[in-house]
Amino acid sequence: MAQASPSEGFSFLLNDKPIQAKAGDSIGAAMFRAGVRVFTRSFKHHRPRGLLCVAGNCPNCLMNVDGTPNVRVCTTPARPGMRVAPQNVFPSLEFDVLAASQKFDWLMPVGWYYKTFTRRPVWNAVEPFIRKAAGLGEAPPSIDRFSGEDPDYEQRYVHTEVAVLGGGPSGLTAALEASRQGSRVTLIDEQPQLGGHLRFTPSDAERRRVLAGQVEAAQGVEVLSRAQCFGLYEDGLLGVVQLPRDGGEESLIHVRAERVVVATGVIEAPLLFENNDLVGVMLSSGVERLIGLYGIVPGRRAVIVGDGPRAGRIASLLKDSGVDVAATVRPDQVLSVTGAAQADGVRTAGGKIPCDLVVVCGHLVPNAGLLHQAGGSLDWSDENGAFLPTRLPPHVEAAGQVKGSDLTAAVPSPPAYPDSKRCYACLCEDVTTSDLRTAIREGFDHIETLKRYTTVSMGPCQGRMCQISSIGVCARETGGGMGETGVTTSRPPNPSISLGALAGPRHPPVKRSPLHHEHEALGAVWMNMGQWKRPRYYAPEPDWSEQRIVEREYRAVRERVGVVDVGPLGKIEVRGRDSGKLLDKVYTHRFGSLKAGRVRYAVICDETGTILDDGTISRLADDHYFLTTTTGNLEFVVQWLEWWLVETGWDVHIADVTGGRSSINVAGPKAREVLAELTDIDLETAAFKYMACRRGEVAGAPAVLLRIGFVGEMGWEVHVPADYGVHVWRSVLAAGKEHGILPFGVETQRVLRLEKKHVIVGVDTDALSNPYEADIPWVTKLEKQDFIGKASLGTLQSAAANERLIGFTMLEDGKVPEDGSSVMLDGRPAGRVTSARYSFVNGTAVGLAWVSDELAEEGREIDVRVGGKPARARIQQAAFYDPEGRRLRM
Amino acid sequence: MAERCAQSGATVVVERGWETVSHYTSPEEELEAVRRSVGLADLSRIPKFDVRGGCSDTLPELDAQAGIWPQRPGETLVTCPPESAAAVREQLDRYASAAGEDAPVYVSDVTAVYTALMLAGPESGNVLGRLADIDASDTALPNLDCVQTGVHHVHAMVARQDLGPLPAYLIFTGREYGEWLWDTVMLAGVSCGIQPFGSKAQQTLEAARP
Amino acid sequence: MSFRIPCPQCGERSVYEFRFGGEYSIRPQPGADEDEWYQYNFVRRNEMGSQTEWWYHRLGCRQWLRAVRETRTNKVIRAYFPDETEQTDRGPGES
Repeated sequence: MAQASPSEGFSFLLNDKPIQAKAGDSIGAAMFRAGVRVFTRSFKHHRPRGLLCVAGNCPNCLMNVDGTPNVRVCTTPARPGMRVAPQNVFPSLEFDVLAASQKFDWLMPVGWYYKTFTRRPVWNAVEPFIRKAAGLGEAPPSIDRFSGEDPDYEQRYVHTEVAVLGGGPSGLTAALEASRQGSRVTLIDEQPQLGGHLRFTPSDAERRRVLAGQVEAAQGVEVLSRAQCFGLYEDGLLGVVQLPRDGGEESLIHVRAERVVVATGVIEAPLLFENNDLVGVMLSSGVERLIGLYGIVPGRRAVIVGDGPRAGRIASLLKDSGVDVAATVRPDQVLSVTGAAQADGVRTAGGKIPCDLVVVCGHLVPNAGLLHQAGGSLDWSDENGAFLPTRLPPHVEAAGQVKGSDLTAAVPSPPAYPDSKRCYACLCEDVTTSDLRTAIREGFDHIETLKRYTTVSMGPCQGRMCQISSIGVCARETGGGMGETGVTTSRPPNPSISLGALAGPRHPPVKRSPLHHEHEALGAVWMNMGQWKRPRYYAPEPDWSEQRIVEREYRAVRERVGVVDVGPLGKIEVRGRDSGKLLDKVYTHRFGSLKAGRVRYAVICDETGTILDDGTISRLADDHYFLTTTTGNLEFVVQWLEWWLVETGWDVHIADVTGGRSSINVAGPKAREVLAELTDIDLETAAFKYMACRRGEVAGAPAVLLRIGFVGEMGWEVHVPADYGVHVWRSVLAAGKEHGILPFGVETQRVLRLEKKHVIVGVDTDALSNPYEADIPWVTKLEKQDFIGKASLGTLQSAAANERLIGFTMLEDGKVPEDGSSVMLDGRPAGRVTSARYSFVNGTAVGLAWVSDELAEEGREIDVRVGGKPARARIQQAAFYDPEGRRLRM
Repeated sequence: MAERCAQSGATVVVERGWETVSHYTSPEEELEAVRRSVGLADLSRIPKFDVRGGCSDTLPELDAQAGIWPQRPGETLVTCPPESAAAVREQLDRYASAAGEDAPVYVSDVTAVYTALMLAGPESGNVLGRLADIDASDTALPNLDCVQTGVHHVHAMVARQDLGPLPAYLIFTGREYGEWLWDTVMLAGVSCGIQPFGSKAQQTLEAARP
Repeated sequence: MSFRIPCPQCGERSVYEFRFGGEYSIRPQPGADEDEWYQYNFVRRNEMGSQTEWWYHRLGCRQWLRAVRETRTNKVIRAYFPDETEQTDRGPGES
């Protein structure tokens, strides 16, 4: 709903009622000017609440705007066409049925859930009702309420030397000073306009104009407006949430600063007296903002609760704005505020003073949460009536009112207060002074436990309004001082940030093969393999079953020829004089002595003998090897190889060329005939044996060919530079047309390789698998001088196995176990299936499974769980197809 | 990438055996967009060479438009305009053969291994700030300097090669990320009004280099 | 956790650009007994204080480096490419 900031009058909707607004109005200001006084109903007691702070610090104005819940309307700019609605009310703000809960508050004292619902059946019965009645706001059904589309959240990074938090006079001054000293400065200010509190005091208008102008003109000062720092993290990282100028979603900015100046000023917090939460009771700074920012007269007749010069100043302001000041009353003189839904007077010992506005000169609390997060301490000062930040880390400093050193206490502390069920310490959670006293008497007398038991300061305001009062009550009740009672830990995010902004743009990385669009055109059904998009199979008709599709591709490969894109395979070029030495060190087999032109199956184990990865290693030249790895482990293998190279001084260079090569596997009894049309390389077995490699041209493209056989048929893996990929693929398909060639996908490849009992690392092996138990003992060459894992493998070779990887065939028709099914013996789990598929050549399902050593006998019958019931299978060690591998060597 | 470009209605021509996008809308419109704000071009076809061993500082003088980008000690990436490919390769091969037995040098053609996109225009630093956690200020990343970083957790090399007065950055990732990188940069540039530009506009802009 | 590691090549970078490679330990010589291998493979010193450890700069220069970090404050005291150091460290590549 992004709309430009209007420069003239406009309107928006509150429920269905249009509200007139002026340029620069916040939603709440326009509503107030239009006569709205009740903005929300409180969390627990559903008491009507109205504007209190007008600064975004309290929970009294949280409403639903355009579907977004919990919007602070007192500070959010109004825009034409906005749709504003109340939340947490039934049926309406004016008449909320749940306000009746106030009559039953004696049944619901602090911590009442813990004491009442101690039996599970009781809790299960009432939970749905409590959930419905509790909470604040409702999440929108779809992320974007009206268009159904997800909005875009932006994130960005800012690197700076000095970050100044706060655009008030102290922040502006600090920014200017840092900039004059030659530093790069980023000034983060939550308001749309610089100046902080100078913006709403008319006598400060000129000073604001000058300071803001200097900052805007200064070289090297970047200003981020409508931006708030919600967390001050380790090593100068700041989390900043920013609202865009012209509507739209908030965005997240990661700011990294060498130095941080916190100039976040003070927050005014309410005082404790009976009915201190009624509509019409406002903080003095809230009144200043309504008058100074929006030109709104907040009432007709006011009583000021305060003392000294502060009270005097607010009295003059009110009188100048045309408000009749009925009286100024000291906080300790207030007995209660009177009125049903709205305040209509203040009662003192001398009687009731009628009014329609109660202006409270509240506590001035340094907004020092971020300094606390940064590792500073907050120490109580009786003189200032505040917790002052001290012992700040070296890269963080405080400037201005947040230091607290020039504050005067609003009331002597710990403050006196009535023990009342209508004196609210926490407005967010409706925690009264009576609740706090009860909790303390029940033993929750430490500020941290008091907080958690009563939930005081755990609501949307996160302690801004209630921390000082609740600490005061705790201090008084326990007889300790304010300092001794202390503050609770300050944690980010404060203020809150939406999950969407934290997540940022949802654009996860995707890897595509050079042949991606070829597959698309051939009707590929896609699957994800990590970040890769791969064809699962190619669907000839939309109504074919998966089995039928796979069988078609399967038969092409077994009977004729098929081609599969293995581009995602990890590919590494290893070059250098000492390449063989490194490979001998890291891999379990011998590679230093591998002859040029040969390919060998290659396994990496770690020092405990666990299989980490497998692949192939081809020797292209004396100092040149070409490695393939499993798709998912490529990054790991590169890192692992690099690590073992450190400090050796060996001449080895490792290059990841995975994306740079288009790799395809042409496999099947007709594979030779197809490839022979495209290359001059002699493909006859006499010249090109199984497990050999050659370089040459295929379809005119420079190529490396490996004769290997993952799928169990005669075939070649053809690697060409990626830019030739499409041409070579199309050439192969064209040359194979007369032989009935078909492209095949990952699913078919899985069936083919499973029939050959070829293991897939990470599917058929896990973090405990070693080569002996995985039935590939021949990959370890313990006679080698030294290699990674040698010591453990030596021990494992002669040790008793715990379990073994075996093959099995299903003896019951139509039973195809899922990967991961249990192997059962006498009704108890005795192993697990890693891979299982229907084998077309055997007419039954086959698979691989880990079973205990005693069970691992040729011909032994086991049960495999299929569809929740045991099904009979037989263990078989030989491959399920061409166990001697004759087809590979044709 | 060619498919993606064709889908967006670009005009594709063949230059030196490579399918290239000549322009998306019109070279003039694209030039205007780059000069005013920011544009993105696919430079994946530019020749790239991987030089291992030796030292970036001792590489010979190559083509004026060539880029020498040190990746880490003993590894340099060299880029050059398509027409200089053969000449640059020859110079690099000579450099390699002149290297001593004790410190061999290996040169390989890695043109196909990387995707290279060019982000150019006054707002390009702004767009970079939405992609990667790097300090891209003039002091931290001056012209002809390069850094390696992560773009949304994907390894990338960012090389600055200004077009005269206009800042411009080459972003390299593995080729397998090509389409994704293009989409990601375009998305990051939406608020700056990013536009794709083709080889015609690119040639005009590159002529501004000294 | 948001500390930075001063990569010797790339400068100060967020820790999330790196992959932690474990405590720095000397690999047992060939022929070492089972207990030595057991210690190396499974037992960690878990220093409270200065720890020397491996990091791989995966979203950067993609080199292995060693860092000395104060585990109580996450301050990285120094980070170096092992080849550069004059110490007679026996790293993974030494046999």
